[in-house]
Amino acid sequence: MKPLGVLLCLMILSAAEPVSGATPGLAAVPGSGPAPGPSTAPGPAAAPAHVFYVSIARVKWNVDDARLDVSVRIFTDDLEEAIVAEGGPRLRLWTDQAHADRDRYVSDYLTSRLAFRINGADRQLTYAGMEDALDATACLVQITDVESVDTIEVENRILIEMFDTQANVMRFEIGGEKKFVNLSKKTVTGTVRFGP
Amino acid sequence: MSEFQVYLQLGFDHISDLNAYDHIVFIIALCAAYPLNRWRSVILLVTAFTVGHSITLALATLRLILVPTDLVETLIPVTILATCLMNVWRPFEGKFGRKTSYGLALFFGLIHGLGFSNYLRALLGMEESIVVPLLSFNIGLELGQLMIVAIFAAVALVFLRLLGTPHRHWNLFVSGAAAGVSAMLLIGAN
Repeated sequence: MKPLGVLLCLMILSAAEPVSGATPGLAAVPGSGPAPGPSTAPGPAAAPAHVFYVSIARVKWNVDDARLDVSVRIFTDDLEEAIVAEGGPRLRLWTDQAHADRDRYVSDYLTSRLAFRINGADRQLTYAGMEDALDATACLVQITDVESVDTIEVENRILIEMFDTQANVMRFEIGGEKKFVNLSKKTVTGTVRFGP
Repeated sequence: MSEFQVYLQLGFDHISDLNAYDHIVFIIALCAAYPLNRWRSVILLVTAFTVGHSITLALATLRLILVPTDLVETLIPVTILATCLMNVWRPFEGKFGRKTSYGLALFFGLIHGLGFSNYLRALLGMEESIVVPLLSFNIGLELGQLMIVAIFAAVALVFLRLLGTPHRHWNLFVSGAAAGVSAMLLIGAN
């Protein structure tokens, strides 16, 4: 009984250590600038055991502005890893050392991995920014001059070059109608129809 | 595909993903101490685990609690190691022991739920209802767990009934293997 208790206490103590300085989104203690540094920095994450390879995209038609808003949530570490794998720099998003050209790299990545065809016509995607969402980054892309939506054919290749089990969920909300598709390496394209 | 199906699939895939083996190893460790004729206890244990992770998954996804991902990822292998050690050590025996086991499975479930939630929360926005995603994700997890229990029981059947391995040896073998995996996870997490 006793040695077990001691062992558990030791393990919990050693576990508690590295937590200070974690949670990049929340930490940001003012004035403690140069301290931890390498917490997320070097090398590829060695054999991650606990993995959840999913992105979720919300596609919403803004009728008043005739615009399709696509908000894609991607795990920040995966997104950065994918951009590095393409020969880009490490963006260090949502840290003090974030890369100056981060928007361009994220924009290039997204627009090369997503394609939309609305009512049978290929449409241009425009990157409109990103924001921190805890472990994920919410990236916004838009399609303008969308006057009506009957069918959307979508191609989503986000992170499938990185992870065999990557799932890319897409949630469409068009004029009150909700549809879902779950895309992956096996199925990169999906079609959704709206209206009567 | 409906929203329910999408998240059910994500939950099932997550728990049964061989790359995310920490939950699988935990469930195997939970089952190891029980001989085949005590399958009811195993079902109760797995259910207690599910109740635990459903609670924290809901609380954390609704942003009522927030635990750093790094801490959770360290605690998960601790729960596996603790389960393995107790399988061998048997600190709790008798009727009291059984209740304690269910309580611990529930408690460990709370920790695993934080692990699921840190991922789900990051991906779900606050702008829409998360009741359906949460519920269906949980049901998917539960179905995945039951599949793992079934496969493990089939392997146990071969050893315990066909090959005549004494259950004590089987428990030592499985718990030892799971403890080794959790030790590697602990080292990796730090």
